Formats: sequence, C-alpha cells, structure tokens
Amino acid sequence: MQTILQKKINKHFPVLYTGANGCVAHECIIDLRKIKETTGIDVEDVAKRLVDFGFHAPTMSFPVAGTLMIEPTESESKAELDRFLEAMATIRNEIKAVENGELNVDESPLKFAPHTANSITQSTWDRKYSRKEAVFPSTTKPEFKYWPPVERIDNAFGDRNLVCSCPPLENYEFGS
Amino acid sequence: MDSGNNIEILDNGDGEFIRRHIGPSIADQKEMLNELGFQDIEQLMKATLPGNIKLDLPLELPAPVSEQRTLAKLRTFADRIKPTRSLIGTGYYPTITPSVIQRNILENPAWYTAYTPYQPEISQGRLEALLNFQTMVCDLTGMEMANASLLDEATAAAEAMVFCHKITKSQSDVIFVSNSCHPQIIDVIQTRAEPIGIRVVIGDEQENLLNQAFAVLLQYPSTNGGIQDYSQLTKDIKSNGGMTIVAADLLSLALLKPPGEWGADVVVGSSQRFGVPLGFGGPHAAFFATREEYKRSIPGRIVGVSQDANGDVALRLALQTREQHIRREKATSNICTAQVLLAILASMYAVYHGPDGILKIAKRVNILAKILAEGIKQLGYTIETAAFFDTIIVKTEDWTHSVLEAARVEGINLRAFDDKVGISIDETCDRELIERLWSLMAFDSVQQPSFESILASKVGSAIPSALERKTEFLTHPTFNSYHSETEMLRYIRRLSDKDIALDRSMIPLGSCTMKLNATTEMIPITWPEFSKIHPFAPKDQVEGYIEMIAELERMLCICTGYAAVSLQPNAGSQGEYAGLLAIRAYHRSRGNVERDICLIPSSAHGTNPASATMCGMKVVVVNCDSSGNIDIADLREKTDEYKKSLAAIMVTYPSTHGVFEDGIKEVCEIVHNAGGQVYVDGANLNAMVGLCQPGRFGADVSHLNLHKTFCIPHGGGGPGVGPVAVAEHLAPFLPGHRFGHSENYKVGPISAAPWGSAGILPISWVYITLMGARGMLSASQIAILNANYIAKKNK
Repeated sequence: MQTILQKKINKHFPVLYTGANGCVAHECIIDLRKIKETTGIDVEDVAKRLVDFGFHAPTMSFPVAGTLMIEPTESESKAELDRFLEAMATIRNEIKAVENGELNVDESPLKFAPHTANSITQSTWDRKYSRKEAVFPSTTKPEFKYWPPVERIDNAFGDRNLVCSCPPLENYEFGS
Repeated sequence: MDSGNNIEILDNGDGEFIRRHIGPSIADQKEMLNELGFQDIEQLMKATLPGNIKLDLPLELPAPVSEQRTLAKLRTFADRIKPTRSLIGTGYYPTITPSVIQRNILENPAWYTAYTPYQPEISQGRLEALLNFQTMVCDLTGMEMANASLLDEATAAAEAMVFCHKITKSQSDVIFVSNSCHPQIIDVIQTRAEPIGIRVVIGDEQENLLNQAFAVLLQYPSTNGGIQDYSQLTKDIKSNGGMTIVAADLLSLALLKPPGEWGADVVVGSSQRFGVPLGFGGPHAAFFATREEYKRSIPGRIVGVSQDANGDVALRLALQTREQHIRREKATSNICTAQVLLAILASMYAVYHGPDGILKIAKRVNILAKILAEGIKQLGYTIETAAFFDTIIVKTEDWTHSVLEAARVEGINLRAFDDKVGISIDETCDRELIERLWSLMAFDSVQQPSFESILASKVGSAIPSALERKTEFLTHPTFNSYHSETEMLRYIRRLSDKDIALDRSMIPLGSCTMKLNATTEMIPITWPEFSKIHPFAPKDQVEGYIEMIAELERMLCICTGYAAVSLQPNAGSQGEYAGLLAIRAYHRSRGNVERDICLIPSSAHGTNPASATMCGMKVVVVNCDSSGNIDIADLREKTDEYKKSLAAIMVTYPSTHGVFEDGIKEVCEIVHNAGGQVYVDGANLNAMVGLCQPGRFGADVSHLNLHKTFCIPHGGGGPGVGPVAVAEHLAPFLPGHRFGHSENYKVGPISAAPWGSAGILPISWVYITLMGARGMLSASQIAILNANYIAKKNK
C-alpha cells in the first residue's frame, strides 16, 4: 500500500523549516506559495478539499501566510496518518492536473470544494470531473464519508451584511 | 508458557493506558523510524533536539497507573470534598444541568473534542449553537450584538473597561467602579487597569459618582442583591461623555428591565446559572454585549450569518480582522479562547426551557426569595435589601457567627460579612430549604413562620414596577421548538452530525495539539464532588480539591523544571498575561521601573504582542533568519540598544515554525546578560515533556496550555486552562486571590475564581497519573515521530 502510494506521488509539498539535521519537532509547515504562484490554487482550496476526504484542515497561514502547519500529535495511528497522506497525495495530483494544463484552475475540484450531497444530486452536472470524484475522491470509503452541510462559505458577504443573531427560519429554506 | 508470561498476564494493568493514548503500535513505530532512516526513537531524538538542552534523567513523576486505579486514587481526593448547598451567590449559583444536555453535550466527544470553528464548513452545528447563545444574550440584555463568550465575568468586565477606554471620546483615564460590584470583579479590574495607566475609583454610584470618568461599571442586581433604577444615572454618565458598563445576572433579566432598555453601553456577565456546573469556579461562559455601532471593537469571537457558494445560509466567525492574530501589538485584547462548550451548554439550557421555562425559573427564584425574606423579618431580623431578585442581606449583628455556624451544621453555606449574612436563592432551592433556613435562624423561641400563610398573604413584589421587564425574549423558533426530550435529543444530535470533531477524524492543527481526550480523563468532571462546588466555599469543605490541585501543580513543575505554578489563568492568553505581570512586578520590586521593552520574534503568535501591550510593555520585534530561527545578531543588537529598558523576551519553543532551535540557550543567556527575563511560550510543550525543560535551559517563566499538552479537550473553542509556571525568583509574583491560599499577595487576581477553571483540572491530573514518567516521555517522542513521518512523506 505504502509503496503504491509512493509511486503515485512524485513530488508532494515542500517542508518550509527543519532543524539542523533535517528534522522537525512535533509539527511541520508545508509551503504552498509556489503552487499558488503557478496555478492559483491556495491553502484555502486545499483546506476545503480535505473536507471531501473527511478531514479537518491543518492550521492555515500561521505562522507563515500561504502555508499549512500540520501537527498530528502522538495519539494518531499510522493508519490515520497514512489516510491523511493519501488525501494530500491525491490533492497534489489534482494540483498537477492544473499544472499540466489538463484542467483550468476554475474547473478544478479544489475550487469547488467542499462538495455537498445537494450539489452532486442536481440534475445537471457540468463540471470537468465526475460526481464520484467530487465526493469520493481517491480511495475515500463510503463508511468514512463525511458530508459537509454547506458549500464553501463566503466570508466577505457576511461581514458586508452583518447578522449576528438567529436569522428568521425562512432564510434557511432549502435552495432559497 | 513460561513463568514470565504468566506474571505479565497477572499484572495490574499499570502502564496499559500508554498504548491506548499513543496511536502507532510498537511495530508501526519501528516501521516509521525505518522509513525515516533511524534505528530507534533515541536516535531520532538525538537528531531533533539540541544536545545542550536534552535531559539525561527521566522525570521524577511516579510510575504509570491503570485507568481503574487512577480513578480510585482520584476518588480519595473527592472523598475529602464536601458538596454543600451554597447560597453564597456572588456571581455563582447552583443550577440544574438538564440530563439530556449533560449526557449529550458535556459528556459527548462530538461536542467536547471539536476545535474552534475556524473551518466553518465542518462546524455548522457548533456555530448554530453559538449563534443561539448570542441571540439569547442579546434578547435577555436588550443589546444589539453579543460575542460568542468570554472567559469569566470578571475578565469580561475588564475587557469592557479596555473596550470603553478605546472607543470613548472622553479624555479621562479614570473608570468609576461601583462598590456594589462583586469583589472579584473589582479585584480583576484593578489588576488589569494599573499597567495600562487606567485609574480605578471605587465608590457608591448614588452618592459620589465621578463625573469625569470615561466609564462607569455597575452591577445589576448588585452583589448585595439590590436593584436600582439606573436610567437617570446612565443619562448623566452619557452627558458627561462617559460610557456605562453593566455586569448583569442573566436569569434576573427575565424579570428585570434589561440594561439595554435603560441606556447601558456594554453588558457583561456570566451564563453559569444556565445549567453550567459550578466546578469550584469554572469553566463558565461569560458574555459581552453592546451596541452595533461598536461592533469592530468587540473582544473575542463573534459568530455571524453569511452564505455559501450556493447562496444558502451558512454560519462562520465574523469580523475576524479585529482579532489579535492580525492586529498584534495594536490589539487591545489578547483573548483567543472563548468558553464555547459552556456557552453551548447555556444556550441549550435556553433552548430546552424556552422563554416560558426561563421565566418560570426566574419567578420561582424570586418568589422563594421573597417568602424567605418575609419569614426572616417575622423572626425579628432586619433585611437590608429593599428591592431584590434572588439575594438578600440579613442584618444578623451579634448573631452572625451563630447563624453561619448553624447553617454549616445544616450543610448550608451562606455569604459571610462581619455583622450580616447574604443568602442567594437559585433554581435548586425549594420550600423545605426555606423552612430549614428559618428554623436555623430562629434562636429565641419565636414562632416559626408559616410558608403557606406568607404565600397566601401575597407579599408585595420585590421588584419595583418601573424595573419590571415588559419586553419579550427568546422569541425565535429555536427556543420554542424542542421542549420534549426526544426533540431536544435529536436537535443536539442533528447539530453535532454537521461537525467534524476528534471522534470522526484526525484534526492535524499545527500549534493546537488535538490529541486524545481519553474517556477516563473526562469521567470525573461530572462527579458532584468536583462539579457542584462553589468557588468561595469554606476551605474545610474543599481540602481534597485543593490537595488535588496542589499535586497537579507539583506534576507540572516536574514536567517543566520550574519552581512554582499558578492554575488561576483560564486560557493560554491569561497565562501569558500573568507571566508578563510577574516579570513586570519582579523588575519593579528591584526598583527597575523603566524596564518595559518586550522583545518578540517576528514569528510569534499574535497573542504574545497583545499580552505585552496589556502589561504596559512596548513591543520590539526581533527578526528571524531565512530558516525561521531567531536572528542572533539582530537579538544582540536589540539587547544592546535596550540594555537599560529591556524587560523580557517572549519566545516560543520549539519555535512556531515547528523546529527545535539550536540557539535557545544562547538566546536565554543574551537576554539575561542584558537584565531581561526570558518568557518561553509553552504552546509547544507537547514536544518537550520528558525531553527537555524550559525551567532548566534558561527560561524564567512559561505558560502551559492544559488544553493542548495535558489533554483538556478544546470544547469547540474553550474551555482552556493556561497555567503560568515560574522560576523561584518569580514565584512571589504569581497572581493571588482574596479567596485563594492567602490574602497577602503582590500581584492581584487575573481571573474571577482563585483556581480559574478548577472543575476541569482533574482531566490533566488523570492524564499525568495514567501516563507516569515513562508515558509522558513516550508521548513527546511519538508526537515528534509522527510529525517527522508526515513531513517526510509529504515531501
């Protein structure tokens, strides 16, 4: 399994800082700034795509903007670390598809992530990737599937139209 | 089978927990080390840590203990805690946590292991619960906007002070604090005001209100239970260019005219009595509400409504650019952690009871208090409090000691004054208790009052009609839909199903340490001995609590190499603040008033510069080199430049860049040589326990995050515990508390309660006991192994 995975991955994400002997402490920062420069895909896209795999994203843009800081802790098993690595490897391949010109950046699943059940069950599907790739990327198993309740959230909209208490129920009307 | 195997099979399970806490099996660890090119874990440690800081000997912690025996050991402390009915009030009230909420939120990892909702798409459940909290606070206080909670009522009041100081047009640096505020609030305000040049004037607002104050802090109802009409007063304050801060009791606002309707600019308070256990002082969610025009200056987190890519309603944290991560030394607050889990508990209490239920509880409390007061009058005592909600002050004069003693014999704590007693009624009180209070106060053989006849006599209202609430609250359907247990259970489940917490997947958040929060660690927090204790209960009732806390302090000293620890700070930010206050007080005690420069590397967490500013220090940034380490040459330059005025450096170790910097010892020496103190931010302690100790490699003070390294769950963004640990010379400058170990202290309290969030300290005590020296070391080693494995395989 590991070797297959390694074969699939040519080049992942560079680690930004290491100690004198090339080791990190209990966390590591991976640098996505180059990727952003060449493809337009940023940390937020990777973070939101991880949701489709059922993961909570690593720390975004702290302490360095444009990076992800990963701290697995001692409590995570090798199986879970490998599941995460596989998700990251798949994401790297999705970035590669943009690098190679197979997909425009605004056609990439990374830009539409996370994918809700609602979004993939619409009668029309005009994306450049399949519904299955959208919600079961790579080897994501149905029993591990997490379904996000909402698509990517527009932060700026909420700050422009500030509401900080429960909105009327009609606002929740599905697809309104 | 050889005899060795038999002995192993027959062992008592001590040490067994270590392999439950640590994810990778021994075989997996070998494989991972192999992939990294190391023979064993020791070799990896050698390559990772600088040799000059590495510990040679194991920590002097006891050997690991099994889960069952650990709980039995903790039981011996609990057995020396006497849950007593506390009618002490002073901001803390016994309450009933509805069982459906206790089991399905407080005791449910889907809620308590979640992280702060910075990734809103996977946090819609807890964001909705927090929005309910904000709505509840706005409704009850009559204000326009509330945040998603603060740490406790006293720090919320201090935040309000700084908030007003920032936005007021008044040129004044004086805050007027009513002498009828809770004493712990006044104390925390004084601690927080002095370093930033705010002068606190305490007095009676009706008699000698200071006209030129930039803000006035009132308590509603007052600490003595009294209710006053402040509408004219707030007008006067406003016309003098000042702002009015009101510390209010949330339950009372169901009956009382809310401060928002009589002119308050800020309303703060605690939501503890909405179903949140006392926990010997915390954790509880405080609230902060104000007018919308001040939205950009509100401290802490605010949940707001937005929309997703499909145009559907979606929630997320609003106005994040206000936060200290962005504003750094310009920030006026260092608050990161809220009290999310507790705010959710309180909001669910409101969802469960609804407006009618809350009103009923408030009326019941008020009527019982009235009947109590009437009966006490019949016994011949004078009641000092004319208009009240739940608290009365009885002039007991020469009888004071006898009354307090008689109450204690009956298992009741009253609030003690020199010549009077305070009695606060709460939702757990009933007729039987009222009658017991009468009988223990009836010293002369006067006739015992009759509950029925007082009730029948329709005693006049204890609330003046001008102060009666006329407006509705909790009108939103959410507070009016889930009143059967089945509906409530499903609402809670529906929300948690929307979220990712540790019960679903890894949460690999750098600098946050989302490790296992083991069930055995969590079990004791709802034991009544730990959860139902008033923070100001007499010391002889809480011996076991204080001994458990003292033992935890010792354990933390051993883990860090420091001499003393204070568990008062209820978040990392507060620990930072307490640590810097200790440094400040130390310099001042030596006559070095001018030492006020705090060096902070450019890579530091935004809380560091914000905390330094709150201590009145000036921040000077030290550069980092291209590999992310502190630029030693720049450090030497800065320490030379500020040789006379250097107070401290704040460094994070391992660095925020996730690296054990080789130069840490040198950094400490350079700063010490320039007369400064070294503050090591302990956010990353999880990589150090058992491997190296900040207290040994040159640091003078650190805060630790028990919610990172020591297994207190994140609760979706709080509770946290941020103890501050110091070397011997700083120990006298740890924060004190009037209800703590000693009334003599050099630095005042920084939290409302003497031991902060005491109710969750058993979690860390259990963790360290389960792991022992061997397990704690192993945790650090495997944390480093896992990170290196990820780093390598991601490359």
